[in-house]
Amino acid sequence: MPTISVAPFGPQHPSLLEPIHLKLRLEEEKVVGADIVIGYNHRGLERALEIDYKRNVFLSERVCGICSFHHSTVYVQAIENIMAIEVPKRVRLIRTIMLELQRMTSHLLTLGHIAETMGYENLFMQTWREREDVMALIDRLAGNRVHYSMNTIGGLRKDLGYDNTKDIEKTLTELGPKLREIRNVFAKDSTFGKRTRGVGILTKDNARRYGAVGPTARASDVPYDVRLSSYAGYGVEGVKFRPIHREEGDCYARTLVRADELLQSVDLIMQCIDLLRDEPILIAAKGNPTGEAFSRVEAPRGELFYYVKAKGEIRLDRVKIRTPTFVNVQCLAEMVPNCQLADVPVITVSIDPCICCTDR
Amino acid sequence: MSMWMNTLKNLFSKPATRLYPAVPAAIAEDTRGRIVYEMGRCIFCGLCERRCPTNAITMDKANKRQIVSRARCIACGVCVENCPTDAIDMRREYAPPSTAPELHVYSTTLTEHQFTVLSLPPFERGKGPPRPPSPPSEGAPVAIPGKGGEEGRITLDSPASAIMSTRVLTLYEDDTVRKALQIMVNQKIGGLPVVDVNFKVLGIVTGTDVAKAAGKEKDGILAFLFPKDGKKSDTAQEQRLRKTMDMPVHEIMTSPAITVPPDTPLREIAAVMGKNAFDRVPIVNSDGRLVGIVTRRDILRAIAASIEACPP
Repeated sequence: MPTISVAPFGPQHPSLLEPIHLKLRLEEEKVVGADIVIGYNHRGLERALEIDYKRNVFLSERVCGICSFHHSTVYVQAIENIMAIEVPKRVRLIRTIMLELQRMTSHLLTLGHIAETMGYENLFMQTWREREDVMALIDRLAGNRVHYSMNTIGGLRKDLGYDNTKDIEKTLTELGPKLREIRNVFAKDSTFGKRTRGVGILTKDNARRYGAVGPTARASDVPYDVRLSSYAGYGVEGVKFRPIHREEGDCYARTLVRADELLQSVDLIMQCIDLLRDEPILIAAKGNPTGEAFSRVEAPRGELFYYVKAKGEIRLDRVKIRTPTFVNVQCLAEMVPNCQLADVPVITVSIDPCICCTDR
Repeated sequence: MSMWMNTLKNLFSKPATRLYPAVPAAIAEDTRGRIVYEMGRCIFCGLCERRCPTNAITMDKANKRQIVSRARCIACGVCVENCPTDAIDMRREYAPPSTAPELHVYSTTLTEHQFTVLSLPPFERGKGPPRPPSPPSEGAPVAIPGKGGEEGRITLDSPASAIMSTRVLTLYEDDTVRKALQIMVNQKIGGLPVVDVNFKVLGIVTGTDVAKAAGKEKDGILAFLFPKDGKKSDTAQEQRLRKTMDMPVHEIMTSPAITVPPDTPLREIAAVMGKNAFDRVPIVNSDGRLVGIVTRRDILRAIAASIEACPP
């Protein structure tokens, strides 16, 4: 009967950017089980979001820094549903462009983070160098690198002009080959493959059982993508895409799904730019919202869900946020057993945990 | 293999990073850096203060100052969008670094875009950035030298601008009747002008308007506010009252409101009030912007003052 020892992983750990705590049960170097503890970063944002529905557009962006525009879009969509506002096609397309640009920054961040976690500093630097180009592009488009503040109830606060769209096309055309190169490094590099292939497997059954979302689910052969539900510009006629999914379910597959989605994002943005027509970008909202609605978007980490209940006042009755990491982080309990202790950081980072959103 | 080539290439190529601060940061054309006021244009309407999502702006109307709490400002640009006179500008530069929370004070006495920095004590734990002291409360008597009658006294011939209240509580047309009633009861005032975003007066809502809307019964609104001995009023009436409370004020307001320019003598305002049985008259400037309000009580004060001025 071997002895089982318990080792803590997090909430403060050199390879983690955010506070998540795994209680690992070890049999020598082999992990036999894990308990997951979250909640180190609770800020009471759901309560704060009840105070003023107009100011929430800015507050909801601050739930998470890496998917800020996804948060504000999903909130604004919920309020627009309640107030029965049909936003123009141009607004939906511009939102889609910004959503996809943000997905690119987020995926490049994660890819770099995975490489860095396994000690591949060179690849990490490469990935983040390309990320800087996207961040600078967003700065030029929105006026800020992280919190775009472009959304508002009923439309957008800032339009994309002709120069902006040309800028996007130029930047992405230059970036495309570089991204393809990075993708091929992740796909073919032997060092990377040895650390990730067959490590941290999430089977298709388990992915369904835990309700995994986003790239984590798609890497386990569950082609579930909220973008298929046609919110924002994904429902506009002429925008075509097919969710990327793989069958292996290991860290390698999760990384490759993200790398492929980078190229898909470039493609989607180009499609949206071609469809932009002159239209108003803001429909004025009258009165206060009454009623309830939920809204979903496909954030970089998976399905992001907001439920909003309004009572005809500035105050809201309830805002409920379900973030993608909240479900994905539970899948770790199935991925970690039977792997080596040294692989735990890689597996944890491969689901791209955003504890900041999850604890909100 | 490709990463080997990449490593060799990077050994001999220029660095991708910038030698900041020797080389300045690349700031995009539309970057939202920080806000600056041009106080010459500011009309102290208070829209920036009210719309600011983080309460970063405090208007000090008495001293003609705008105070921006640097730690609170998120550079969203809502104040810039809402300012009716374009007095606020979004600069593409970032504020210089600081070690303590600071307030940027813009004042009409300073030249354009200049501000003085008011340093505050460091954050108290758990309290967030400190806020500046609140401006003096309204209602405190303010002497207006040289604006009244001949010896600076208020008489019935003084212009309305000498006596009007300049901090006017207002409503927007989509505010609910509930909000109107709350303000009236809490602030002990009988009526509120309804304005649009440019402070143009659309109408006026008084307690009478609310009571009229709440029901034809003689004690409709009173029964709602003060139920008798906890006895419940019948449900139909209750429902109608609740519906009234959720109505926007523009449905019940008296419109158009009779307004007068600031140089109107109080004598004429008193005549307008007497003729129409009004309690209050909004004062608007030549652009149609609300600048103050004169109530029946103000007129009475002026009459009292003029009696004192010329004893029998």
